[in-house]
Amino acid sequence: MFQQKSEQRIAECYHCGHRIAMSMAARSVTCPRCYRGLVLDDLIVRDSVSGAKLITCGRVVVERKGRAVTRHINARDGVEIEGEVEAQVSSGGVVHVGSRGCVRGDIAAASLVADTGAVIDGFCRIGNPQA
Amino acid sequence: MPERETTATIIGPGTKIKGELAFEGSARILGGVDGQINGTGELTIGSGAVCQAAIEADTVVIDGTVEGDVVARQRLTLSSKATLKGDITAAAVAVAEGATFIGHCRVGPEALANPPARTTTTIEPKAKSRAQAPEWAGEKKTTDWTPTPTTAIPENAKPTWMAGLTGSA
Repeated sequence: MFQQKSEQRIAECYHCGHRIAMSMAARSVTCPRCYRGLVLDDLIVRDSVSGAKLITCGRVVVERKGRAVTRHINARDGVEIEGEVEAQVSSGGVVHVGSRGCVRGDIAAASLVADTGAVIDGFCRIGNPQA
Repeated sequence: MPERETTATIIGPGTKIKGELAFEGSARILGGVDGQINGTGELTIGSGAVCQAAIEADTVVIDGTVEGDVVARQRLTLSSKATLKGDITAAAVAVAEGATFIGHCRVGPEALANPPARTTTTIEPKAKSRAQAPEWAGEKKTTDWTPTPTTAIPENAKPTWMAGLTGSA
C-alpha cells in the first residue's frame, strides 16, 4: 500500500494559487497548473537591494541593516522587516515590522504586527476583506 | 467591598449612542456609538459592538466592527474577529490573523508627531452682507454696463446685397 512521506511541504503558487505538495528538501519547483517556476527559499536582505520584485513561497526577511527598494515583495509564508522597505508588500502570512523596521508602501496580508517604534506608511488590506 | 481602582465606562449591548463620547480611565463598548470617541486610557470595542466613529485613545482594543479613523497614542490591537474600515495612526499595531483591516496605516513615533488633520466642517451663519475689501485694495471700480438699445428689425427687411435681385428664378 502506498504510504505518504511524512516530510512533505505544501506551498502555494504565487502565480495561480495552486497548492503543491513537495519534499522538504526542494528549493524550487514548477507549478503543475500554470507551468511557471517557483522559488521556495527564504529571501534574506542583509544589504541594499533594488529591483523589480522579491517573490518567494517562503519568507522574506529584511534585516536591520537591510534596505529593499523594489516594486513588489510577495512572500507566501510571511515577511519580517527590521530594516527599511519601500515596496508594495503582500503575504499570505504575517507581516511583522520590528521596532526598527520601516515600511513605505501598501501592505496586503493575512495579519500584521508592528512593534513599538516601527514605521508604516501606506494603505493596508489585512485579513479577508470579502468576509 | 473592595473599591475599584479605576472607574470603567461600559456601554452595554443594545445601547446606541449618537454624538461624542469622552472617557477617562477605561471604557468598554459592547453596543454601538455613532460619532466620536475621545479618551485617555484603554478603550475596548467588544465583540458584537458596531461603531461608526472617529476614535482617539491611549490604547485601543478592537474585537467588534469599527468604521472610522482610529488614533491610538500607545497601541492598537485588532483581535481575530475585528473589522476595521478606516485610517489608523498609532505608536504600535497588532493585527491578529482573521482580523480585517482596510485603510491607510501610519504607525510609529513620526505618525503621532504629525497626526493627520481631522476633517471638520464648521457651519456658520450666513453673513448678511459681503465682507468689506481691505483698505489697501482701495475702492473697487465698477462700471455699470447697460445694454445698448437694439432697433427692431422690420419683418420685410432685406439685406443691401439683395436690393439688386429682382424677379424669380
